[in-house]
Amino acid sequence: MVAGCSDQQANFSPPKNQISTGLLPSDAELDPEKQQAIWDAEHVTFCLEQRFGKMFTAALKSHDTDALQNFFMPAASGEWVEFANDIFAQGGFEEQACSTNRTPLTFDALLTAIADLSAEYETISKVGFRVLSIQMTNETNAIWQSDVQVTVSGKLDGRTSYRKTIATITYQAETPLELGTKPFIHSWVTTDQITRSSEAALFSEVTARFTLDRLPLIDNWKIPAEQSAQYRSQLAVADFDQDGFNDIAIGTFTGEPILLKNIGGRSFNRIDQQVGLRRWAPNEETSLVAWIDVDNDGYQDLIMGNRIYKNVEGRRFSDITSSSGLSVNRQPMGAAIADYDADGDLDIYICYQYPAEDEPQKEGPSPWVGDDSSGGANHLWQNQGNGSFREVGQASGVSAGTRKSFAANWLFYNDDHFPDLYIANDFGTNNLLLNQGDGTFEDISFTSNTADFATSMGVATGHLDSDGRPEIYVANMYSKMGRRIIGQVSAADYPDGIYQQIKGSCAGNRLYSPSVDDPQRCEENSIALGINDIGWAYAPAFADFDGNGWADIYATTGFMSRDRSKPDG
Amino acid sequence: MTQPLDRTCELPQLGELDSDKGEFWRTNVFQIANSGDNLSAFESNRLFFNAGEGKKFFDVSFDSGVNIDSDSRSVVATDFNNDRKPDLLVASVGGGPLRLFQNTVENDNRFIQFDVEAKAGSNIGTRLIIHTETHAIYRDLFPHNGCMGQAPIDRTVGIPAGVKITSISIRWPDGTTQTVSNNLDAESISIQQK
Repeated sequence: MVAGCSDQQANFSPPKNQISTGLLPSDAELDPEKQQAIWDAEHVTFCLEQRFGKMFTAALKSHDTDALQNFFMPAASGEWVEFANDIFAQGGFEEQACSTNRTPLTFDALLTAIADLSAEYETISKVGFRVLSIQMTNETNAIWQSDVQVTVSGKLDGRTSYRKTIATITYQAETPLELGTKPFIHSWVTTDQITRSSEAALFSEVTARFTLDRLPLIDNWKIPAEQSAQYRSQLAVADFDQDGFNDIAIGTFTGEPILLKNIGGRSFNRIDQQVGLRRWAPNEETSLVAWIDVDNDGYQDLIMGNRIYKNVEGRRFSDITSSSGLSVNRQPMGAAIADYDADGDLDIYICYQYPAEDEPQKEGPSPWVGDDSSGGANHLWQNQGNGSFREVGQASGVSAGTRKSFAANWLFYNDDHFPDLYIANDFGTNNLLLNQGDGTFEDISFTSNTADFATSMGVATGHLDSDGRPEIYVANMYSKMGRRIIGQVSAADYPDGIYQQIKGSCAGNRLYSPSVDDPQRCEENSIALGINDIGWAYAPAFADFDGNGWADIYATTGFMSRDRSKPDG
Repeated sequence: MTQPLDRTCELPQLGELDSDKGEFWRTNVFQIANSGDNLSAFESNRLFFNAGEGKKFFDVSFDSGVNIDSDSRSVVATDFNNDRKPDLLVASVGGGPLRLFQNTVENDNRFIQFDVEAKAGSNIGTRLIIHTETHAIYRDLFPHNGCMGQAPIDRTVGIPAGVKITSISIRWPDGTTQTVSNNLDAESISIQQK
């Protein structure tokens, strides 16, 4: 178990009266001595990864046992957890995990076991070394203990193979800058290991074949760092012309909207100008894109930026913005489509990050945690059945307060046919809104244990099991550094409620499943299921990729990458 | 030093840095996006296969072909080449703005396409329950939007090799229900609301 994660599966939603709002008190600042201790630990971690780690992975890659031996003190001891006998197999994929049995190792046997992590590979594509936790165990002698993760991937027995090993190492770091240059490891205890292998890759990239590499979209990796943007586009996919192939609409935050027609599942043609989508003027709202059949004629109409277009039999688009009554502003992050009032036509829920000009503007700096007040109200546009919409967000109780909303999904949380709504919010708590069937919603975020203070950025809903109640998988921030640091503080270091929220800033993705014991609440199981430590995560998606009748999970991640030769922040 | 408590808060540097190896300090984490430093950088997207009942997931990222280390934001999982298998369209701010990955999973499972037609109005909000010899598959027809990416409703359902559909229950958006028990061996199943 990684230090700092031990209580991650406890109650994820802090009691409502412990959620801070507005500016946090100055006494919430961490004790200076604790800050210094964290700094020292992170500095040792950096040197362990970037100095020893580089030498260690090079030795593993080149099978240099002499180099490996030089990292260990002469009397170094070790233990190694054994592999379990069972091998899980599905299709061409195999996974073998470890048992709970550990074997003590002599010095020589320990070195052999470590060398064997890579020895059997025919080719090695990558060896990784990361520090998962750190604590000082003896200040006088500068003795530290860390959980470290070693990964090896490559070809083994003709199959693509991946091996992950987690070990607790005890080591001396009197001079962190010298880590790895002389023997310093006192003990190495491998506590967890797993191997995975497969016969063939599961997906093949066809970006160039489909001409998607020729679009006028900006790539942060190809421009100066100061021009980098956190968001650049939104996507919406539908078969707008009913030719049997899915087409792509792209809303860009700073550029032209794009509509791509799928040509027989072989390539895409850009046709936005050809079908009547107008060019964009500078400073217009351009980010939002969503398909919605406004008038139930079977053709998907298109919301693009602050415009809404009627799809005329898949041949052209006609701008109906003014007659629709729809008003889109503040560069929304997305829209969720459903017939929330079950009246036969589709309604639109729009997620906002910032307040409108006529909404109260929050003064002063925004808090990092517990921020339920500096964002903007989300909008619910009720379809009037005559081609026009009416905004009913506040009246229905679905505006999600004034949070910074990233994403929303409709789902059937309870067993009626009125769609409920889950909203993922950044910096504040999330919302689960139960549709009452009378045009209003009840916020059950806290009573259902899904409030999830965790700086959320995305959400997937759907059925991962066969109990008939949907799962909610929320994308949050996670980093190994965050977990290491949180592992060194506790609730005692902060006023009530603050630690729980700060911990949420490296929560990782969370999976909420309706409880068997208490149907009114959800249980959170992401760590036990191995789907928690995704990274700085954005968009999760459920789909049955292998056709076995069970929904699988894909999750995007990665915040800002600039230089592979530099360390990560 | 744990997170700053407000987004303008600055924290001082408290010690020496290993600058030879690129250790760096930013007094405010929100400065980092445009600084040229890496932050949660080159993280690989992840793919997990559900081994059944959501009780165990295989992390198949390492050999999926979709574990790209771009700075990815949105994803749409749907079929683009009409082989009924869900492909992946991934949008990123760095590392290829828009990338398409074709599903090449090979096995004997079947993908059945469902075309459902509500009597009046949209089929969005329909719940399908496909009862098979092994388990019930629930599919709620909503256009999913995980974050900045809207997918079409998912009308294809995977059926394990050798397993038969025994019946289909439908709850239409207006709340009425219907059961289908004929022609369940077809590769495409059309259902109209009665």
